[in-house]
Amino acid sequence: MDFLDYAQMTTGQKVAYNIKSFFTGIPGAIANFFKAIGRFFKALFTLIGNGFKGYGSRFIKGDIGTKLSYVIMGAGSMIHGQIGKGLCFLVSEIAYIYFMITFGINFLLKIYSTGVYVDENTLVDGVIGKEPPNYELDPIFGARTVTNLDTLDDSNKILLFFVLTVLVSVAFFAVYITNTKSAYASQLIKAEGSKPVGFIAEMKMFLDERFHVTLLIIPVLGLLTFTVLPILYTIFMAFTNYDKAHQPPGNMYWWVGFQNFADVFYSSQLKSQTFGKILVWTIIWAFFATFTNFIFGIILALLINKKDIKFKGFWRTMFVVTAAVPQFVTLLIMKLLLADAGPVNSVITGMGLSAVPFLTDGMHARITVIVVNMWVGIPYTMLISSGLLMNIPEDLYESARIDGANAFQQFTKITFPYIFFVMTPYLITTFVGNINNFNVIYFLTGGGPSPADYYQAGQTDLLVTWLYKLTINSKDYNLAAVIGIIVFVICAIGSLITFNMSKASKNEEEFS
Amino acid sequence: MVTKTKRVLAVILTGMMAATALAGCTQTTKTESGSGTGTASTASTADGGESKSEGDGGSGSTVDVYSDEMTANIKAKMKEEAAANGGTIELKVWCASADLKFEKTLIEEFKELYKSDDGSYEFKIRSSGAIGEPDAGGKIVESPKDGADVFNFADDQLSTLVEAKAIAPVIELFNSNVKANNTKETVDACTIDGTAYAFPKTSDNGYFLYYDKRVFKDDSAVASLDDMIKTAKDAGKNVYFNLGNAWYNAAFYFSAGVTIKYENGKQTTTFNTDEGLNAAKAMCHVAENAGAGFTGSDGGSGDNTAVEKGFNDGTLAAAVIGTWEGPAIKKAIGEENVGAAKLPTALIGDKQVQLESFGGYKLIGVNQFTKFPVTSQALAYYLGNTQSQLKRYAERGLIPTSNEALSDTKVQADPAKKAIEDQTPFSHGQGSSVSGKYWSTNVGGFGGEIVTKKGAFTDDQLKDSLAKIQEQIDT
Repeated sequence: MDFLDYAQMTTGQKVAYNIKSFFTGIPGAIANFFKAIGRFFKALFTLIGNGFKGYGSRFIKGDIGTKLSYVIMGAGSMIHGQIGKGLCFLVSEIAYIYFMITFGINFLLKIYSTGVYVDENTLVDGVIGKEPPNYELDPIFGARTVTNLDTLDDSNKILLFFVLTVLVSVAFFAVYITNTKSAYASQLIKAEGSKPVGFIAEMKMFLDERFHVTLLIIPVLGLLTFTVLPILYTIFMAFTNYDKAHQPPGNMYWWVGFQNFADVFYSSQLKSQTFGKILVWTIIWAFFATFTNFIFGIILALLINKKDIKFKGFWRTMFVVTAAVPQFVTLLIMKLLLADAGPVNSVITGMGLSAVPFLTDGMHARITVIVVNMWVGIPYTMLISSGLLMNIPEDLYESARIDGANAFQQFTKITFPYIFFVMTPYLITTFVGNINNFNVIYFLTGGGPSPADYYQAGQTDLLVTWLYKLTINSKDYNLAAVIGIIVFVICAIGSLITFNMSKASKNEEEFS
Repeated sequence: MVTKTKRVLAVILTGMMAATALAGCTQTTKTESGSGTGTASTASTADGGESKSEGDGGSGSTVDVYSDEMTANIKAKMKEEAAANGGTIELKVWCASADLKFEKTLIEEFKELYKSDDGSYEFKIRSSGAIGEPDAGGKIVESPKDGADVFNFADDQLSTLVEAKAIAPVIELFNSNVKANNTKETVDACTIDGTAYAFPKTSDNGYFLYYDKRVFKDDSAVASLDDMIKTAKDAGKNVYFNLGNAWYNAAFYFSAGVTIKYENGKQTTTFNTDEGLNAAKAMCHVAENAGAGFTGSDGGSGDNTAVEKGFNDGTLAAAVIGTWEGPAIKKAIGEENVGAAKLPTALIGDKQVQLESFGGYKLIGVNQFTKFPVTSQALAYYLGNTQSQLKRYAERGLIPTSNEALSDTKVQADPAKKAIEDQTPFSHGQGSSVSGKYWSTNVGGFGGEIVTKKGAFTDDQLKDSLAKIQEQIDT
């Protein structure tokens, strides 16, 4: 169907067509998504393959110096006349070996061998529970008098330092490959008869044409330490039995494979049912929380933006004041207001009606959190869309009026497409934000009410507040890690697909 | 040479002490102190079950911790521990912020008492009120190595601490004294599977009944929960009993005969039985009056707020709550109108049964990972001894746990204390009843649901929920 066919349809047909094409587009989008993943991995493997090929061919073509640098880092560079560079490589190799011997190798081995993880019967290292090491009875006091318990390794330490060692090793591997490349490159330059660049000159390059590398080094290091390391650590945790009964340093935990994932999806009835119910509610919540705010925010902005409304600035300020009050303050006040014996219910009972269990009955609580969230969220949408409304060229409306369009038509043809186009990415981030909207739920209901068929959760709990409860209250760290991974996957896939399907990403050049 | 003789003497003394302490036992399987493999305190596990064998046989035959002899021994140990850590004994103490000033004076006394004779060590004890009794256990479990050496905590955290092996068992010297000096219920609350893990401090952390004497004329008016609700309803007021909280609603399960036991690291319950069903039905029966004579949940505002507000605006005539709300209630309705009593009876099955409760104690624990095990225990013992408890009562109004301190006349005159004393025979130690998981499971949520729906449940629905609860809690 081309544009002409589309333009000839009635409004109803157009809406139907759009809805139809949205849903028929979903399988394609999902397929594209997986194709993209496929392409990514293909590219990755090609890259790795090429890397190995280059690694091998460099060795074959290399002279004695290049070959030597495969074992003694920096040897090639030094033989080819780059003393400073070669020394740097050599130092990094020595430093890495020292690091591994004194620190890293210990944790690489312990992750499996010394029994900290393997199974309950072979626990050896760092266990103080059953029989503390160096256990001795004091003749007077009759209890242990060892004071070196804090020097023992525990599961957390081993796992964390294992991840650290792996990261350091990966970094070292990159340096090692660079070393062979650099040795070969200097060999070629020497073969040409010219002299390779000196150390100082090369260092100067980092302030000049390779300045981006210098700039990026701190952010990348920060990213590795504060983002990649904890994420890997958490992912590993999902495959252990790190729960209340296995808390280091008093107790150890060990690998259990995919048991936790199985628990969440099918093998434990209670956990899988809780997960199912919470997942469904999370999506319902995210949908309503996002679109109620969006729609009512726009309506409010339109109302204020209307020509014949006086004191526009005043009204806008009034509504922004609700956003200026810290969110948690508003939420805690709402919680007090809506309590079973709170002021709102006092008024209701005072009128002779029976009290409403706003926060203590499942369905009521769910509606309450959505409505209260509107109070908190609408001002933001109003602010953003008022800005947009003021930016829509007035001549569009003028020509529409000349063509005889009424206010509703102007809204559906000009205003809404314009706003929707600009705000789709915002909607996606809000949706993802709402999936992880901790504050509203935590401060308002705390996840409650909590009937007995929920595992460590309640009827208004989102995945993310459930995760919080699992870590803080019941210390099921392994389960929480699984939930964390699932939330990440849902948010990542969901937002990638919707963003790729949105007009804003398809036609970046045009409006509507 | 001198120290060696002292030690030999001490071994003999301890041996004698242990022998006399166990004289009342039916079994004397205890290994000699100093040569055994386990801590001496595990000996009582041989007796099995709940019954504490130390009872009468133990009292009066303990070693005086504060004798010159023992003080010298402890000081020698402190010197040893200090030497291993650079000559300074650095301890961190956590207590409630309101108690901080008072606890500091006790710590000063302790420093004076165990001052080094030859200046070979010095104390550096930092006390902090930042982490109070409700949070201390959790913080210690989170990262014991960063935690305080000596910390005050509420007894509901004991099983969590023991599970995580983050709290040190009380060493034998102090253990026998703690057992002899404090009430049996208190000692029970510090003990899990026969091993004592903490030093008792105060006994007023449990719940009982506060009531308005203008509505309930005398003690007989507060004897049965059903009657109370009726009386309150006629007066246009309510009785507050938070069924939406696992700590309070356990009263119904205990009284119905549900087993809630934590033994050998295993939690066993019998929620999914006829007794459990009876308890749930009893709650439904009471909850029918919700809103008219009965308030069964804090409605999202927290117990303390709900109770204070209720007494202030006159909607409450009685509340099941603890001493911490005493001052607020007195302020709201006038001291002369405040009555306190043990919990009433409730209709369970077809009989009126006395409601049982969780006892509530505040305890002092020693971190398993402390660098100064003996010094820390000595400090914990000092903070919890009879003299300190009496001072604490005088300064802070906290009811003691020591027999001697309790018999002190001033303490006996306290009305809340009488209610606690009456309730104590019907109370259960939290450490020996529940593991930490009990609190985060929806036992409270289920009670809250009963109240919200005003008890409109079929037996099958109740059974289903009870089965799910048991599945979640049992290990």
